[in-house]
Amino acid sequence: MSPKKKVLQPKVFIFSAFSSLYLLLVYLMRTDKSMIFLITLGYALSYIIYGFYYHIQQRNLSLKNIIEYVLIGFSILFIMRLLILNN
Amino acid sequence: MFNIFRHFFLPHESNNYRARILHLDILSLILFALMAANLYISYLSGDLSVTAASKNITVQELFKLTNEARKKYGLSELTYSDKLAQAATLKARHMIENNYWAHYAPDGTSPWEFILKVGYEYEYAGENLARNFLFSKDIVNAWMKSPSHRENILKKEYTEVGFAVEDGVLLGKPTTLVVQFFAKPLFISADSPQTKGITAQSAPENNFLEKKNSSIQKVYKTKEQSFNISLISILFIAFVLLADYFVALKMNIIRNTSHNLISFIFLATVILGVIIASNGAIL
Repeated sequence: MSPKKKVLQPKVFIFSAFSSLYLLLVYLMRTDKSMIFLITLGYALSYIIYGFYYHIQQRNLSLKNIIEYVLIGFSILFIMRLLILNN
Repeated sequence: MFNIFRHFFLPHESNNYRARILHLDILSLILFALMAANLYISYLSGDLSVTAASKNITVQELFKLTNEARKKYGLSELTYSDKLAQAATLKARHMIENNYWAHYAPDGTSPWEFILKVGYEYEYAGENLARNFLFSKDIVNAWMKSPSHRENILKKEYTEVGFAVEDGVLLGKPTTLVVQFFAKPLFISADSPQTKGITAQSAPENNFLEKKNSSIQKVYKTKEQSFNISLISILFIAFVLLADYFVALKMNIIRNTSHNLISFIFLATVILGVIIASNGAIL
């Protein structure tokens, strides 16, 4: 398999479509900061779940991977809280 | 120098073929720093009893930015009017109490009625509205991008301005409402605080803006800095993820790590989301 084919995995497109949906929801709810936080919470959870699913399919899910996804996902939630709820 | 850069930001033998900044200990450190920043900001905000101060929108900043915009176009600075600020507060409260988002109330009350109600007789008057922005500068930027609002800010006939920043529930959502009233008084009395002789900077210090103390400014600056630093940090991590992904791909490095491209998309999307969320609505 060539490297370019790896980039064009359908799963990446599915996640990109999901990301577009997230942006659309944020745009529609842009005046309601609490709702934006909840939408971001849902998006972060979907990212973590996607990560687990991806590695389960690849048969290489490890504790290190789980922690990586959780750390990145939760970092974003803290940033959103810092930026939206505290402001 | 390059070795240090490579060690921290690119996959290499020295970092077990994964940018050091993406290792679990560094990521944990970033999460810890964000938690600490959250607690610090909450602590600072908790110290303040003024509701509007819990937001990053201050009357001083709105006033300063409005005058800066006028100065850029060679126009005279506006004087801060206590009466116009009172009228703006009345308008904001009327909007919250009657649950509407418009220049004219559903019962037909015009913005000018609030100005007249506080005993301000005007020759010219104008109104700008904004809601649910995170920062004062975003409000003034949004107004300057809209032709009708920019026209109000840059109207040479206006000599005075007043602001109100009010929190409440509008259309079923928690809202921070900003009302900006411009005007030129019909009569200028010699002893009035709206006299032309008083400079734009000194007037607010003597009346309405006196309420805003230095701690509010401190919170404002801390929050704005946190906002910028957080955005830049996340953008930086996102690009390290992307670089790590492409270098690993090019070098055919097989690793058992998280999916970098998905993580990049995730971070980049949230950054866009934050940018969208930091903008409210103007009218």
